[in-house]
Amino acid sequence: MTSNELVGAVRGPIILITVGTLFALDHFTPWGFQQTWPVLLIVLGLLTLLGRMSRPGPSAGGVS
Amino acid sequence: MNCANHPDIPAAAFCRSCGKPLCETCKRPAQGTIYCEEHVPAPSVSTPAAVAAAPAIPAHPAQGPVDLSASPGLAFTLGLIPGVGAIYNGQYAKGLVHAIIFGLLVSIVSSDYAGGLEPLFGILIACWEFYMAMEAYHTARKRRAGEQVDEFSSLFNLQGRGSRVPMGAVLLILLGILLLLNTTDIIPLQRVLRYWPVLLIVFGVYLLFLRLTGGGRTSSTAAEANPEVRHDQ
Repeated sequence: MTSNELVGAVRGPIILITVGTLFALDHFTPWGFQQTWPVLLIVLGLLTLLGRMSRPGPSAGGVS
Repeated sequence: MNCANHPDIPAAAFCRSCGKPLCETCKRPAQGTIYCEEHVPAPSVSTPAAVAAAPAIPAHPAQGPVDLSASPGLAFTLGLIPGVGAIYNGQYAKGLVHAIIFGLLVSIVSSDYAGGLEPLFGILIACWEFYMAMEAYHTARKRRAGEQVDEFSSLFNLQGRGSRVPMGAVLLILLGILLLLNTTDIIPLQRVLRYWPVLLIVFGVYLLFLRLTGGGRTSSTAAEANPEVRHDQ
């Protein structure tokens, strides 16, 4: 399994864990979900970034 | 000038990579240009490279199915409804993005975030309205002509396929940090949005950086390709 496939396989579970953590924070701490939801955007961005970094870009192969 | 390998035969072409003069027997045509024996790309490598290069070069659109049922006029009319024009062309993700951007612009105008810039955002809404309609119109025309339409063909390149900078991911992270600071009341969004002209400056510097480093690959490769084609004639 390449690292790119690993990032793809791990994306769903990590988002699920993040959502679960945010709802747990909502229930057990003063942090409400309406305050912490942008964390989801950050996690999504980080996952996209990781997926791109593990894969060599098409421009690295080069057309010229 | 004579061939590098056969000094008695006049050169017919030049290698694209090293510029070596080549005669008819030494030249190796590949990917539409001429290479020498050492620099000719392997066939297995050339196919994915050509596939990767295809979306970046609009001069050679890949052929898609000719869809005569696509009506540009109907696409324009439906395009006036946010997102519907793109959905008519079968581009669901693009339709969603269109509708979200339209909603964001309307929300900015109706909230107090605009800070006196309501006229600017009002005009932006009008521009966006007609952009969506024109975009749907041109996509429908492309479909009629049988040209390949990408999901995000004309929308700005969120995937960052051409560039080495993953713009979509970076934008998502920055937006998340900004909204997190807003919801946790550390830095309210109103205070950040006052600095929006910085975006213009950053974008200008980014464009300047692209020009200076020769990042405009699509235009430069297209310009390069033409003289190379003329070499072998």
